[in-house]
Formats: sequence, C-alpha cells, structure tokens
Amino acid sequence: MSDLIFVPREEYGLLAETVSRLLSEPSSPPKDWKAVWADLAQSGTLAVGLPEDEGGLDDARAVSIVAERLGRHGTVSPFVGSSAVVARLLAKSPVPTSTVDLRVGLVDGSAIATVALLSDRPLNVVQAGDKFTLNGARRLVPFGAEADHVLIEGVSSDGSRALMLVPKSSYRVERAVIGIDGCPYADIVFSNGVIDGERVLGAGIEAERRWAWCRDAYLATLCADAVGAMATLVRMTGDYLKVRRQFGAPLSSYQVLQHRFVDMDMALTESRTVVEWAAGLLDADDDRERRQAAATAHFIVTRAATKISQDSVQLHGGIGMAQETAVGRYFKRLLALPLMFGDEDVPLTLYGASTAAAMTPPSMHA
Amino acid sequence: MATLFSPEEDAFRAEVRSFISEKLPAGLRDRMLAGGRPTRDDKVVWTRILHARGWGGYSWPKEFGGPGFTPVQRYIFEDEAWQAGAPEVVPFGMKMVAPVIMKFGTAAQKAYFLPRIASLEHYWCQGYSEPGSGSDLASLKTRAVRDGDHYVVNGQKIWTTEAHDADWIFCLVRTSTEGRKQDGISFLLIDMKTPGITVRPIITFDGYHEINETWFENVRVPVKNLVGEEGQGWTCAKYLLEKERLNFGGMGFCKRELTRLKRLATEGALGRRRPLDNPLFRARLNALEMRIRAADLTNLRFLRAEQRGEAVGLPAPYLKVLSSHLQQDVLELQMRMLGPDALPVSLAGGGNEPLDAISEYANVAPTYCNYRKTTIYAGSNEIQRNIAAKSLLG
Repeated sequence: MSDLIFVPREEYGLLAETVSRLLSEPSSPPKDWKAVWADLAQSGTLAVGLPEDEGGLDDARAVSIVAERLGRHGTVSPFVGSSAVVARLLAKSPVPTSTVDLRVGLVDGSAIATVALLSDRPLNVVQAGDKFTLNGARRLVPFGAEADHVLIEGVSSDGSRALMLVPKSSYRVERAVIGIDGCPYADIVFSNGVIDGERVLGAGIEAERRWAWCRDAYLATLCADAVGAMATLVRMTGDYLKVRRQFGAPLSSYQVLQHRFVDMDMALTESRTVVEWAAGLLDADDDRERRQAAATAHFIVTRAATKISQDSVQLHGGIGMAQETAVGRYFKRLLALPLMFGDEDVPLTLYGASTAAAMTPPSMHA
Repeated sequence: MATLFSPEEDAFRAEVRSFISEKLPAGLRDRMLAGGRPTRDDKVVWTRILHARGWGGYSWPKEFGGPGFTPVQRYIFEDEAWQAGAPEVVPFGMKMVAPVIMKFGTAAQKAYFLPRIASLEHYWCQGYSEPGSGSDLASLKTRAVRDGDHYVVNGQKIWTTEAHDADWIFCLVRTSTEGRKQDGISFLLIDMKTPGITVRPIITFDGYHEINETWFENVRVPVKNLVGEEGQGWTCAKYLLEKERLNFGGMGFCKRELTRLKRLATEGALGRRRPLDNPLFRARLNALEMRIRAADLTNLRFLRAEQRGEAVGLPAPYLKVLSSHLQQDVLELQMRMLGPDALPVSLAGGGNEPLDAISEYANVAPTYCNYRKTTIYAGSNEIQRNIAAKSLLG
C-alpha cells in the first residue's frame, strides 16, 4: 500500500461519521459501555484494523480515527486493548489460522480482550510439554474483570520472555476498581493457571519485540483518544467564551483569554500531527522509527493534554468545577495517558536513548 | 503502513540532494554548517547557481518562469538546501514581492521585474514598518502624493532588513487619508538609487548591521511602479501574507542548528564534562528534538492539505509562533551547553577580524541575541494570536 501520512484515505470520513452516530453527544453522560460495544460490533467498527478479507481496512490509521471519536464523545470502552492491540496482534501473528476463532469473537462483540500493561509484579511461566503454568499477578488491568482474555508478558525461570493471551478461566480477579478516568480496572492473580501452547504468541526475543509493538500500539491509540477528548474540551471552551458575558462583554472579547485559547488550539493542532504520524508508522518494519514516533506522540500529547484540560477548567471558571458540566469528565479522562504510561519524563528519557547512542562516536571519549 | 513521502518525492529529494552536493561551494557550505551568517555575496553566488538550473524562482509556477514545484516538493527542496548548508535565498524578492507582482502587477511589471528577481540582478528589501506603525501597520503615514506621472514620497520606514544591500524596495505608502485607514494604502515599487532616499544603519545588540531606517524625502516614483490600483495596497499586503504562510525557513533552520547542537555536544573540546553524560541536558535535547519534529511535521501536514486544496487549521499563525520559539530555543540550548566557551565574541585590542575564524563558538551567543527578533518580526507572536483568535472566536 502506498498510503501517505497526512493524506486521509477516502473511507476515513464515513468511518468517523458512522462511529459518531453510534455514540451519545459529547456533553451528555456516556451510554452503558456494553450497549456501545454491541453497536460498534454491529456496525463493523471493531474490525477496522484487521485485514480486508476479515472486513477491515488493514490500517492502523483507521483504528486511530475510531479511537479519536471515542475520546471525542467521552465513551468508555475496551476498544484500545481489544481491537487496536490484541485483535491486530493476532492478525499479525505468524500462525493466524489458530487464532481465527478468537479474532471472530473480538470482532462480533461476543468476546473482549485486554492488555496487562503494568509489568511491575512477578509473573512466572513454567513450560511442561505443550502446557504452560502461570504464577503471579498483574495489577490495574483495564477492563480486567470484564475481559475474556488478557494479554500478558511473563518470564520463564531462565529469564526469557513469553507473550501469552490468557483466557479468564486461568486467572481470578482479586480486586475490581473504577479509575478516575471512568474506566474499570482490575488486579488479577494467576495461581497455577494452565494454558495451551497455542495461546503463546511469542517467546524470547520475538516476545519482547511483539510486546514492544503492543505497548506502542496501545500508547499511540490512547494518544488518538486523547486528541478526541482535547478537541471536545477546545470546542466547549470556545463556545463558552462566546456566550459567557462579564463586564458587559463576552469573554471572547478579552485578549488575555483569546491568547490562552489560541494556545490551546495550537497544542491540539500539533497533537493531531504526531498522532497521525505515530499511527502511520505503527506497522512500519523499522521498530526504531515506530518507537520514536510513539515517544514523540506521548510527549507532545501529554503536554497538550495537561495544558488543555487545566486551561479548559480555568477559562470556564467556577462552572468548570461543577460535576454537572462535562468539562470535568474530559479532564479526568485525559489523566489515563500520563498515569498509565508515565508523564513527559518517560519519553524525555527514552527518546534519546537511541538518538544519543547513534550520535556518539564510540572511540572519541575514552 | 504509510509513509511521509511518495517514491516520486523521494526521487525528487535525491535529485535535489545530488545537485546541491555537486554545486554548493564547499567553503560556503562549511561556514553555514558552522553557524555563520551569509553575506550578500554568498546569497548572490548561491542564487545564481540555482538560477542556472532554472530554480532561481523555485517557489514559482511555470507560467512565470519557475519550475512549478508542488507545495511538498518546495518543502523538500528547502529542507535539503538547509540541511546541506546552502544559504537562505533573499526572501523579499522571490517569496514576497514576486507573488504580489504575479497576482496584481501589470504585464510590463511582470516582464521587467520577475526575471531580474529570479537571477537576483535585483536585490529587494521591504518597507512596511514605521516608527509609529509597528503592530498597528495600517496606521502608517509615509505619504505618496500624485504629481503628473509620478508619486512624490515623503516619510520614514524602519527595521528595513538589508536596505543597505538592496537595489529595490517595495513599500506600503499612504495615498489617501480619507475613509478607512486600510483603504488609503498603496503598494509601490521604488528603485533604491532614486534621489532623496537615505539609509541609516541600526546596529542590533548582537553587534551586527542587518536592519536600517530608510528615509524618503521628495522621492519621485513613476506611477507605472504602482502595483494594483491606488488604495489596493492593504489587499496586496494581505495576499502576500496568505501566499507566504507556509514559506517559513524557520523549521529548516531549526533542524540545521539541532544537528549542529548534537555535533557540538559530542565534541571533546568542550572541557572535562561531556554534555551528553548529563541526563538533564539529554532530556532537554530530547524535548527540543521532539518539539522540532512535531512542528516540522505539522508544516508538512498543512502542505498536504494545501496540495489537496483543503484548509486545515490555522497554518500561518501557528507555524509562525511554533517555529519562531523553536529557533530561539535551539540557539539558547547551544549557548547554555557551551557555557564559558560561548563568552568570547571578539578579540581585545580592536582587531576587526571575525572571531568566527578562530573559534566556531564565537557566533553562538550573538546569534542567540539576534534571534530574539523571530517572535517580533513578520507580525509579532501576539499579533499572530490576535489573528488566530479572530478566526476561532469571531
């Protein structure tokens, strides 16, 4: 495919409209996620990232467009983990035939998959023949209690990694919580959970490579979701500045507020650029290029999200603090990215690792 | 997956790259890549080389003698030129007055001026700002009074970049004080050799002579040098701004200076401690690089939209604000990284030879000083935000 980044495919406009029509107005409370999920499945939206013979556009940029709409409407759903990461990972796996039933379930809405992003607890894998036994835990898994499958990266006793899609029969939910972003999370525990070899999606170096792709896919899609949420905040704030009057004139007539608002819109504009770039490179052969684009999106979007959400509340004044105003809901939604993936410090540290190494002549400084 | 450029665009880039590497004089290239400022001669030399290849007016359509590049080809061309160490072309002719002449000029004006701009036979400067009219440009007072076949011009322009190097100046002048102030403005082309023009240098605090004040005392300008109708000057000026919205060299400069920053950061000559060993410096470098990447790609995204004939966002104000800050920030980080090595800028004892010749570091602090201009010129960043707010909030 000779697609150009920043040149939208014809299908994108219709796709965005279709998704928006299924969702409630950005200022209204969101529908129950299960109803939304059924509608998304029914409309074929959950398949957009998959190959064309499975009803998709085989295109990470289309996935990004759906995520942007979900963010824009403030919709809570397992789309990022289930459709943008796991379904696409299965389609990319070298033996896709063994996972075709799984993919069908993820696309028709009968099953949900998620990703255990935080790897800060031990999760040991022991292989015996074609069976693998899991012991350990993962915490704060998005939709961890609702999902039918969770993608994990575990460690064997020799230190090598294993990437596995574990069915819910092989772990138990220890604690289910609701996050400040409105999303459900769960801590899950594996005690002698046994899974079949066909659930192993990568081992050793291959597992690490695919896991890195999964994290970048999750990150880039969450950034697209954040762009949608930011777009709603910018629109709401602009509308409010035009109607709210103080000192006998609309707030939009005051230069100090105009300039703050322009800076919000400018931050959104830059965020859109890096999100389109990161989505365009998500399936690139070059891992380093993909990593740099994802890190740049992480950095630019996190900065913009902090600025736009804080300034949206400030420019609304007191009413921006009220729970009845939708502003606060988007403010909280935008916390998901920095809290789950780390704030600007993470890309500030990681981005350069490759750059700095590449630019340092090894023999120059003994 | 998708790519940023098409195979045809990649081939075009390769063609531009090989042309520049073959034709750009090595001495000039090395000076530019070491942060040197191009002289008038440098610009003439480079523009003549481009002209010989048919790229003297490289941003122009074919009907006016340009190569008819697409917006993205123009971006690629400039990107390659900056990174290869070519001096920036004089913008006042090719990118500023030429599009106005193409749109509003007479057949005679097009035939006379455009070829001379492309070859840089005419070196142009811009007469917009006045002592009392900076951000409030439409309040300008330089008068042009009709006297037979001439206008008689009296007044003062200020901040005229390179007026001391220029053969021609395009001016906004007041031809009427009736009605709306914008409607009394006309766009006039003036030969700098006309009697009554005085150029006085303004030395900026970096110590360089780049800008001037330009006085007009009973300067007689033929009426045939009026562009468009009398009173249409503001329309011409706005068209120029719109036309040039995506032509900032700013991002090319940022990328070139970022490369230099990284080179300087790896050099051992900086003292005992390597900047790259300092995690805080590396974080600053990473932040800068990611911001430059985001702004540069935003420029490309706007150009793709322009190529499709779509309007996306607010290209002009946003690119101006983003690129002006990034230019300042990359120079600031260069200077802070060098620390004490950025202090020496000239030799004691009144020697006139530039310290650049002795130390590459000597141009860093002065250029940092000089580039405070970027957030002020071409419509200050505050004016850019006013323009954007008007479009967003009505």
